[in-house]
Amino acid sequence: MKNIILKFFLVTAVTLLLLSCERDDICPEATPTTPKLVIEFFDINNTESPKNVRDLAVRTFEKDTALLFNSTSTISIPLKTDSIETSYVFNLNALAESGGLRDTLTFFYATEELYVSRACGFKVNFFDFRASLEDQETSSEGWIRDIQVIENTIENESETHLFIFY
Amino acid sequence: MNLKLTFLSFTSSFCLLFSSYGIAQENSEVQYEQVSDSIFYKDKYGLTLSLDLSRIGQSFWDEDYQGLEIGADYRFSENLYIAGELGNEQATFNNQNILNESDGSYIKIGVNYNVYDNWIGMQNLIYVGFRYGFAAYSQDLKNYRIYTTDDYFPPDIRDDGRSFGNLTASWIEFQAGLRVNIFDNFYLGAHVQLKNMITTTEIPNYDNLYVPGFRRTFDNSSIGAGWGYSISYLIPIYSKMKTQAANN
Repeated sequence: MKNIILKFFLVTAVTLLLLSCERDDICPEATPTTPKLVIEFFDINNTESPKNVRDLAVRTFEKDTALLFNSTSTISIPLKTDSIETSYVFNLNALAESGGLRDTLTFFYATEELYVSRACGFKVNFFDFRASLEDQETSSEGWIRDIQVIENTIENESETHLFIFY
Repeated sequence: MNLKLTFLSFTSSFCLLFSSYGIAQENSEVQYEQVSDSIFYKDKYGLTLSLDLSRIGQSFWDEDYQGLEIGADYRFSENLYIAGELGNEQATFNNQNILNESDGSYIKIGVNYNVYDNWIGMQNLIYVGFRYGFAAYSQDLKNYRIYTTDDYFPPDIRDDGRSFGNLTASWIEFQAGLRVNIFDNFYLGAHVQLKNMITTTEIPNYDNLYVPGFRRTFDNSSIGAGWGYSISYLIPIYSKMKTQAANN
C-alpha cells in the first residue's frame, strides 16, 4: 500500500513537471496566428513566370518606416486588424536616387476574431478580401499593371492571396 | 490522558522486559509459558474540520489570487473517512495577450483511506483518496490583444470586456497526503492533487482558463494538478476501545 502512495507522489510530481513545461506567456512561433497578406509578383509580359522585385519599400501613409523587400517574388505584409481597410504605397526601386516608382494599393476586408490559445490569445482572420489599385491612369510614376485577388479569405500564410503583375 | 499514556508505556516496557526475560529463560532450557497480554486504548472517532493554509497564504502574497477553502471529514470506519471541501476562489490570469478573471465556488466530495498503521494511541494519517469536484463560476475577459507576429502596426488591444456567467465544471480528483497530530486535537496536513476534467461549459470562441477548485486548465489536456496545506481540528464524537496484543 505504501508503494502505491509512493507511486502516486511520483506520478503527480512528474505530471506537475510536464505540465509546467507548457508556458503561459510564450506563444509558440509555429502557432498560426493573425495571417499576413501574401503577395506574389509576376511578369506582365509572361504572366506565368514570377518576377523578383528590387528594393520594394511598402509603407502605410501613417508611418514613416517601410517594410523593405529585395530579390524576392513573394512578400507578406500585415493588414490592420482594428480596421476594415489598409492602404499601402508600393515603392519599387526605393533606394534609387530618383525615388523609384510608386503605386498605392488599398485592401478592403472584413475581420473575424478567433480564440487561439491561452498563450497566444486571439487572432484575426480576414474575409471578403478585395484589393484596388488607385489612380492608375493619373499616376505617372506607376509600375503595377494588373492585380488579381486569388483568395477571398485570408486564414493562413501558406497560400498566396494576391498576384501583382508588372 | 497523559496518565493513561504513561501507564501504557509502562505496561509495554514491562511486557518487553518480561518477554526478554522469557527468552533468557528459554536459553537455560526452562519451559516458558507465554502469557497472553494485550493493551487497550481509545481510538477517537469524529468530525475533523480543516482550514486550507496554502490558499490563505497565496491570497496574501499573490495579488492575482483570492481564495478560501474549508474541509471536513468524518471517520466512517477504522481507515475510511468521508471527506469533502468547500471553497471560493478568484484568480486573475494575465499574460500580455489575455487578461481574464475567474470567480466562483466549488465543492468536492469523496473519501480518504488511511494506509498508515499508527503506533498505539496515535492518530496520524497517510492517506489516499478521491473526490468528485463541481464548480460554479464566471469568467470575465477584461481585455485582450490580437496576436500578430509583426509589429508594423501598433498593438490592437481590445477592452470591450466580455463576461461569461453561469459556467459549471466537474472533475475527478485523486489526493494523497498526510496529517500529523501536533497537539491535543489539532493536526497539520499536506496533500497533492491530480485531477481530470470531466465536463466544462463550452464558451464559444473562448476557453475556460481557470476553474475554481480545479485551478488552471491546459489547452491540450484535461489533466490538472494542485496541492494544499491545512490545519485541522478533530471534534471527537465517540471512541472505540481498541485492543492490541502486546506480547512480542
